[in-house]
Amino acid sequence: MKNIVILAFKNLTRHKKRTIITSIAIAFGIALLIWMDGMLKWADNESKRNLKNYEFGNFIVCTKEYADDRKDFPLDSVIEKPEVEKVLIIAENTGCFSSPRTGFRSMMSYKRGFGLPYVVFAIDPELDAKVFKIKDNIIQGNYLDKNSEGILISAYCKKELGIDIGEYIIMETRTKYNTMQALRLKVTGIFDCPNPIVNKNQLFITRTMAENNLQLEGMASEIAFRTENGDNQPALNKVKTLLASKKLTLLTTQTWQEYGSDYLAISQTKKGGSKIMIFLIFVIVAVGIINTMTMSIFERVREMGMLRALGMRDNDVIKCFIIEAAGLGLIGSVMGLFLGVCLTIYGVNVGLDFTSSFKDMDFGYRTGTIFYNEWNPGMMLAAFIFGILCSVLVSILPSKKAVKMEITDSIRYL
Amino acid sequence: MKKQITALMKTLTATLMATFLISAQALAITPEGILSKADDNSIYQSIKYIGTMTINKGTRKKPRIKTFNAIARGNDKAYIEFTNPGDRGTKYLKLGDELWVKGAYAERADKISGHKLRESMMGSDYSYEDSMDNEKLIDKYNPALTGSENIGNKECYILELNAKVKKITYSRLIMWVDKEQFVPLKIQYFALSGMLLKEMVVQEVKTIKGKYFPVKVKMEDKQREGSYTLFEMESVVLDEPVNESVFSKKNLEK
Amino acid sequence: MKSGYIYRMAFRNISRNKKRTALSAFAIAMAVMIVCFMKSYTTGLFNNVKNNVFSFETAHVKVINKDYLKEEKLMPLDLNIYGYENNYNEVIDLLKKIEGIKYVLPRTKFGAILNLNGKMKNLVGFALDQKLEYPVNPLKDKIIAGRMFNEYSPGVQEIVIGEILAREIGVKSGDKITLMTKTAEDGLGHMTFKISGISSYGISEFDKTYFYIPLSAAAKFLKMENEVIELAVYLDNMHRSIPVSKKINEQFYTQQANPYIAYPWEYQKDGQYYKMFVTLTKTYDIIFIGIIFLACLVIINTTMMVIYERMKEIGTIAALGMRGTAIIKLFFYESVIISAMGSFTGTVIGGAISLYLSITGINIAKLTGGGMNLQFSEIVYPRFGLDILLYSFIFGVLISSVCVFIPATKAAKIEPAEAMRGIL
Repeated sequence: MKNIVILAFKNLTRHKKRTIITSIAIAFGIALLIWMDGMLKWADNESKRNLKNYEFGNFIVCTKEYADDRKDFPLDSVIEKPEVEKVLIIAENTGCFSSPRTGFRSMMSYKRGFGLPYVVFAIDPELDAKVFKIKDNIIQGNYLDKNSEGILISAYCKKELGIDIGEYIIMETRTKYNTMQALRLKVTGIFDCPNPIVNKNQLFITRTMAENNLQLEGMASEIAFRTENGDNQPALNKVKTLLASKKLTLLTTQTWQEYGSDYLAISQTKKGGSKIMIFLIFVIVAVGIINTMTMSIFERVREMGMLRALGMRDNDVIKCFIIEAAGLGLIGSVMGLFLGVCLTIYGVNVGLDFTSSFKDMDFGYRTGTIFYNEWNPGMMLAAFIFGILCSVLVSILPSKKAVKMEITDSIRYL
Repeated sequence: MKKQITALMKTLTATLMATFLISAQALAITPEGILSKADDNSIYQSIKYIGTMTINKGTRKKPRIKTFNAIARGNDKAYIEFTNPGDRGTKYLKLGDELWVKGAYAERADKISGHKLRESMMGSDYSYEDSMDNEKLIDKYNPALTGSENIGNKECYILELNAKVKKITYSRLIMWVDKEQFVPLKIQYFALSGMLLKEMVVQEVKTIKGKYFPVKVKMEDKQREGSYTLFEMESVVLDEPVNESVFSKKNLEK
Repeated sequence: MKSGYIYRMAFRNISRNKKRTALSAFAIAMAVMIVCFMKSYTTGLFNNVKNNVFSFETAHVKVINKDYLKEEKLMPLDLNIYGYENNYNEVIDLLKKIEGIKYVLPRTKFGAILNLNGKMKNLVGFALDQKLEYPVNPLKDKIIAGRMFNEYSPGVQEIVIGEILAREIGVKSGDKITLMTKTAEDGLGHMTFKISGISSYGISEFDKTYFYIPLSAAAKFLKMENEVIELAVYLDNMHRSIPVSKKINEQFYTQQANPYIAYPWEYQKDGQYYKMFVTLTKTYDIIFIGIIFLACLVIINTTMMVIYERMKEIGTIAALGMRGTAIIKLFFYESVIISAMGSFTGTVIGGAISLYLSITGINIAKLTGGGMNLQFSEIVYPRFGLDILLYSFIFGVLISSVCVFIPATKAAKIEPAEAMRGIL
């Protein structure tokens, strides 16, 4: 057996050109597979990240009625102060970041003009920044701080109301007790985040501000959780158990998957589209491998005949060729993996920038689109194994066929 | 629309009913006394009138005129039917805490609830919610007498009303109450922050069956430039028997 | 040596080594097939997105009241198109004179509320002229139960509602629903409709919140007898939307006190669709280039292998006196013949797959377990077109013919003795 391996290895090094051509084909295929998969995966996950990072967190704790109607931001079914405090302790005990939030439907207007509807969220800036990433998307002015009296608006809102930083916006809303409230708030910051729902509809003030003006009395309409590693389930289970043990039976949890089922469906569909692409790439890579391997074996029927004439057993001849194919696959896969990793590193850090395509169109806010890559070790491994396996499988049939020939025929074979 | 119209609007109601309180002058003048009188004056058995609303939305829209017939009994039952061409056939029915509506092309009545209640009624500066308030002001506000001032040629008390209950639409009102007739001639409505939201001014008061009755009222949205609703009542009939069956869903869906 | 001879020689070589020929042709066929299918698939996906977006969202160009945009969130019905003297048809007549405009469809998009046991459900309605709509946006073909609505007449108040909406509120065609809205005159619109049909676009936004009524019913429901919210303009060529909009606007400026503006699809919804299209095109282009690249690689690889494998043969014929250019010609002819066969096979197979799937569709949601959204329908129909077939065929022949030159030129330069010893 050792001899066969050595022979196979010698064959590989002896026919350098052939080895290179074949393995390059495999390598390019594998690299492309890895890179495109990483890009499509990023695109598929982007909407989920936007949902989690800007709109929802990993899951929320809220009342049952609120969970059913969250899209309306009802203020008549909220978490009262004592429960809010208990839930925050639960969050601490489970190692999650949490942020109590209260969303108010409000009419926003500027200079006594007509009002447009938005949802204003009362947040604790410090806690919220640990759960959401609005803070990383400030384009003008500042994020809120604890005692800020101002309002954080979106670039979209800035454009829609024709307001700018430092100017005053009038917010008309109802307090917890349905009392009319109107506040004149200074725009202290403008954000521009990639989640269109947040960008179009949501504005932010501090909880302190809301506490003083909207009769919050320590309540929150939802408490958003972010788990440290991004995985819901273990933290969610713990939170559920703790909610039950503290007799907070009126409260329930809602995960981003439950909330964003429509949203997720979108990315599921997109994923379906991506799968077809990946499948096509797989097929073409396979064709490339099949072709080169088959060809390189047919080409060497004479060589096989010679080996057999010299007394090598048929099985060993097959083994030798299979090992050689495996070696080719391995070389190709290693090169492909290396190239794929390089492309992925570039894609993860730099990305493909489509911004210049929109340069001529001024929409007044975020127009840049950069496509990044995402690491997908599973796919890398799969592609790697695929490269080797495919070469091996493909070499079995023709080498078996070749050893079935009469030795004399195979030596004469053209 | 509501109150006056049908007593639908609470605000108006207070105004509407202004009345005859002549004997009251004899009583000691306390803020509570003034408010109670204003409240008490709004008690009538029934009212019937033809109403007109002229709705102005600044330069944004051309003024709209809406006319209607209204019947109300007590403070909790009211029925209005619009008669102007654009809204002919639209009917509202207030039954206690519920507000029902039926349009000309609908086969059944719909109840207005939830967020819809906060919306403007027929584009006016009154919300549906305004019309649903049945309670007396004295039960919800602590009045304070802060001075007096003339509105036109009428001497008025200035009453400052601060909410004493939590669940309330306007946390603070300032009222100018006619010293002789105890009719609120002007009411300002404030947000919790103290920002002025709306202002109601009575432009004409008539004496009907010995009661002082505001028949022309202007309601202004102070947050929207040029937005106000002029509310006028004609052919007002007070305290005559009303057929109870008017106030039924059946009548609405007829 | 005459070309004719080389040609015959090439043929002989091809038929002599059938296995090798088959293998090369197979590689080319597979590559061409994938390119062909891929092109059909992405074009289909793209058309699907375009149809969905252009149907109700953007048209090619939208003509609206200038002020409407500022308050679009509120869907203000009073900021509408009312014509110049009598009604919106005056604006349609004006538009029809402009070159490049194929259809002008009057529509009104409006918000309505359905009172569902005390819960207020927000819906979006479209009032349409179904006769005008048909060639562009055949709602009729999307009806899965019942039939299209009839025009309004006293007592006939019909509506078509989305499939998911119907399921959610538990109604079927023939049932009645009552909707509330705010009329263009700020009054209360309240109408009971008979559901004449249920529509399914396979897009959740459409099927969940949209309903459709005839313009004649909207005249009563919304008090818009002579007004509509928008004129959806469809062009001969959607890529001309910006210049055509410009022309429309120039035409508008000649009118006194013109309240209207033409708005090309690229700029609508803050360019979100434009961005989506550009991003989508670019992404698919990149993937497509990748696949073409791979396909090229497979073809080049096969061709090169063949030539290296035949070094000895090249040496022999060179030793026999065949000149370099003739050798290159020989290999070139061989390659063209093989690639033509391969490309043809690939085009036929790829075309057949595309044709089949363009009829049945590919349920991409099924691949992953369900779902849809505004832009993507669940089922993608690859586009079958002769242009794609031709394109794929030429691609295959061209690539393999061109890339035979590299190794063939090299082989032709080699010393016969060396070649005969076998480099490879």
